[in-house]
Amino acid sequence: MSAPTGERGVTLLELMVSITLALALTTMAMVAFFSIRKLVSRAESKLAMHASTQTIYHALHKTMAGLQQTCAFVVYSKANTEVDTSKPPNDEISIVFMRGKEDTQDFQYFTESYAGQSYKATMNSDLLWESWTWKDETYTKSDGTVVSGGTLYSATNSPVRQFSLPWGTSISGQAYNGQKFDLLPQPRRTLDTTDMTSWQKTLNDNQYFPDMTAGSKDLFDPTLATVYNRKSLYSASDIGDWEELVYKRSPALTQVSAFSMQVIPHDGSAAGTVLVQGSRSTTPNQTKIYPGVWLDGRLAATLSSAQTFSSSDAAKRPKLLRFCFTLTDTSLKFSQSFSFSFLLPGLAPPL
Amino acid sequence: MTNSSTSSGAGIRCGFTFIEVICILLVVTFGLIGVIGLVSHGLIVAQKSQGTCTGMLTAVTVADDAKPLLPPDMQTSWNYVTYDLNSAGAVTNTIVGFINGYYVKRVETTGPSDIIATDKDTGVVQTRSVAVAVDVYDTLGGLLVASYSTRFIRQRGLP
Repeated sequence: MSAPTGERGVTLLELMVSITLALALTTMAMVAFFSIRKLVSRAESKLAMHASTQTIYHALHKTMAGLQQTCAFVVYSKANTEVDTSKPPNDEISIVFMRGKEDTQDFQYFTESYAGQSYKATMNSDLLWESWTWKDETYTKSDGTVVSGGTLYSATNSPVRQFSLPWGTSISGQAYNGQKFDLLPQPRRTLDTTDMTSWQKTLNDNQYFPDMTAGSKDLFDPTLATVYNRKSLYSASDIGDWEELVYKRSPALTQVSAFSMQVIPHDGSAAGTVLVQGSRSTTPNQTKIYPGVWLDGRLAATLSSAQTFSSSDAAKRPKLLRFCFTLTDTSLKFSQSFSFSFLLPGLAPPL
Repeated sequence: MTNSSTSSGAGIRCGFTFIEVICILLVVTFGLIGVIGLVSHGLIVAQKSQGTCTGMLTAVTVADDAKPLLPPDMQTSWNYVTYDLNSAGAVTNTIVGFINGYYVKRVETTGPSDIIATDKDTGVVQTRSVAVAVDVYDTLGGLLVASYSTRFIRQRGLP
């Protein structure tokens, strides 16, 4: 078939201009496509970071709200001496505390009649150790790529350590204003502070009352003293509470870097304020243990001592917990920092 | 494309007409507007979802804590200011800054009627009730993401 009369082909110039325009348009379209794809990917990644943080916030809030102010509160940071950048430094920042269990179902254990009234002694089983630990797992791969970030772990005790409140009619508790008070247990109110890790060792004895003498008949029915003494009912062959916390650590949030935490005490004192920040070679070795308040509300070791709130352990307990961390999407080279503060269960001074 | 007739009657290709070019430009423009609109709408939806996730949590955090722990490079963007608890008149303390990817405005107000306790000897205000309102805005379009207001007690010398 012959070409129509007068119809000509495309000139070289037209062809080159067309190809140039087509290339320019294609390039622009590709740049726009990849830019939009990156933008959308970053938006999705950012959204995922916020969603993960929301989950962590609620988990932290839930456990912090159950903080037992009668038990010791530990915040520590631990530097690792690993200088080989191809290995994670595993620096640690952690808080360890006791919290109330969700299921606080106690059961009636004994009923004692005294002076026409019925008193119940219950087995308390509503306290659990909880830990939140950040570990720096940043390292450099053999190809020079830096895998940035660490992991936030959480752990909770599983075997519930039980203890019994003293009961009986032969009370020889502390005298105060003409009355005798028997409510003196201090489950894990204090921890050993001999050195940085001694408190961890003492947790492993699984006792709420390590300072109490086994079989003490001071505050108990003498006939049952050897059974229901003030030491917690534990098995010596059981796993230690601290070991279990370490063993049960499970990842709660990944790609976490630049983790820092600050504890503000009720009295706002600088001495009680602790700031721990973590990154390779700059994480300090630091441990701060806040003793718990007395279960019976007193502000000194003995009832006969001055009950001064400002100098008591109650005024020095944590009031505010601040967290700051950065989440990183390594593939997108995108980071977002987050800061949250949690008010802890309050301790008001006596009016 | 059109073929213009010549006197010889032969069809000669002479390019696009003005109307054709305008039509093509319109189609391309509509297409581009559509793509840009879809992308920007997607970003706004993502921003709103982000606000749903952490907007209110951020508001609560800032309401509870006027001086949150921020990364070092962001601390200068947080204009934390204090005020005199002993102020006689109404006090308005405003703090603004960037946190968690949002722009946040925290306003703490307290008036003379909010004074709860004063030192019996010096008359210095020791305790007063304060109202706190926090607004959280997204940084993309400046839209309000979350608002939270509460009231609490401030004590002299305590955080």
